[in-house]
Amino acid sequence: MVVMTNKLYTLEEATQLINKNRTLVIAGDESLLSKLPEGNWIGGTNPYLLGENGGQYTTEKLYIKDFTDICSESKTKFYSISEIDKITVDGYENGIIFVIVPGFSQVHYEFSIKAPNLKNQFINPLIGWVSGSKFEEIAPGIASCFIASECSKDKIAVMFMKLPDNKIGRIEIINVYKQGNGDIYTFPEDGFLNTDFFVNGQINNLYEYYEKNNIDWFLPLVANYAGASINIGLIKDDVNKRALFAAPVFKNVIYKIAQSKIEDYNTEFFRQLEKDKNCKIEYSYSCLYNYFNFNLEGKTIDGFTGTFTFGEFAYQLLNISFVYLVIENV
Amino acid sequence: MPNIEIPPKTRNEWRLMVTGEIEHTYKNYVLQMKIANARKNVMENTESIENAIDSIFVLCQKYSYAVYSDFVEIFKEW
Repeated sequence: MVVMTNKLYTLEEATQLINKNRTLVIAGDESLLSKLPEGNWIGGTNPYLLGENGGQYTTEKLYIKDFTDICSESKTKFYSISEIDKITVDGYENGIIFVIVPGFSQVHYEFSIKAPNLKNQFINPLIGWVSGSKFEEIAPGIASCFIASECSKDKIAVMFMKLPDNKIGRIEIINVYKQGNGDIYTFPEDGFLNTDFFVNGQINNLYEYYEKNNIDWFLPLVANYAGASINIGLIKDDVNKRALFAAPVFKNVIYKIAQSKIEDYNTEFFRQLEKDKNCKIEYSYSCLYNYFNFNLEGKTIDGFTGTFTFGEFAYQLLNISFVYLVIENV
Repeated sequence: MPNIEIPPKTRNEWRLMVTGEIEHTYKNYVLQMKIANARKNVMENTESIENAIDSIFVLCQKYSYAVYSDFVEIFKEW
C-alpha cells in the first residue's frame, strides 16, 4: 500500500493552500471553515479527524485533501432538495462527484433515499460524507457545508472533478461487520424511520421486538449487496419508543443483524484492505461510530489519515464503514 | 478511453448475473452495488432485464480492469 500524504493543517496553512488556487476538500470545525478565504474548495463541518498521530477531536486543525494534481478540471455547485436529481448528471463524462451533505437536514434524508436510483449513478464515483459537529451538540440545523466562503445548512455542496482520459476513479469500502445467520428483516417502506418491520415475513413493532428479545441495539443491520456488506445503524429512541436509522432502509432488501462485533479493528481492517495493498489510497473517510466503538481516539491506522464522518457516501449512504478512493490508469 | 475487452453482451451469463442465477461473490464494490441495484429494479419491475444488462455492460467497459478477475470466474473465457 502506498501511504497517503494528506494531513492536518492549521488555519494559516489552509489559507495559504487556498490562495495558491489549489483544488481542495476540507473538513473541520465551523469556527475555522468560516474564516477561510474564497477559492476552489468545498468543505464541511466535522471536528473528528484522523491525523498522523491518530484520531482526534479538534477545533484547531483542518483535514485537507488536495485534488489539484489528480483532476484536470473542477467545478462546484450547491444543490437544494429540488435539484438532487441533477447531481449525478451534471458532472464530467469521466470524473469524480464529491458531495458534502449537511447532517440531519431534509436534503440529507431526501438525497440518501434517492441516491441508489439517480440517473447515471455508478458511472462515476460518488463519494463524500455527512457533516456534523461535536457529537454531544448534534441536532438539526447545526451542521454546515461550504463552497469557498459560502455556507449552507440546507443544500449539498458538490465538487465535480474531471479526470484525464487515461485515469479512472474507483471506490471501495471496508466493513468489519458481516451479516449474521439470524432472522430475515424487511421493511414496508424506504426511509430513516419504520415503526413496524417484518421478521421472517411476520409484522412486528421494531422497538418492542428489540426490547422483548434483548437484541443489542449497537449491532447494525447488514444487507448483502451482491457481496458488499451494507450496514444500517440503529438509534434507540426511548422517549418515543421507536427506532431511527442512521441510513435509510429500503423496501425489498433483506437485512439481518450483524455477527458480534470484531474486537481487533486494525487486524480486520488490513485483512480487507489486502486486495488493494499495492494501490495508492488517495482519499478515505470513516464512520464516527468506528472512532467511538473501536476507541480510535489517539490511535493511528498505519498509513491512513482522513475524516470521521456522520455518514459515508459511496454511491449511497453507508453506516459504520470505511470508504477509500483509488485512481487507476487505464 | 482504452479498455481491456470484456465478454460480448450476447453471452447468457450477463442475464444470469442480473437474475441472480449465477452464484458469485463480486469483488469490486461498484459492480456489487450496480448488480444489487439492477436485481432490485428488475424484481420491482422498474427496469427491464435488457436495460439492466445494457447499463451493467457499459459500467463494466469502464471498469474492465477492476472487474476482470470476477469475469474470469464467471465467463471463464471469451
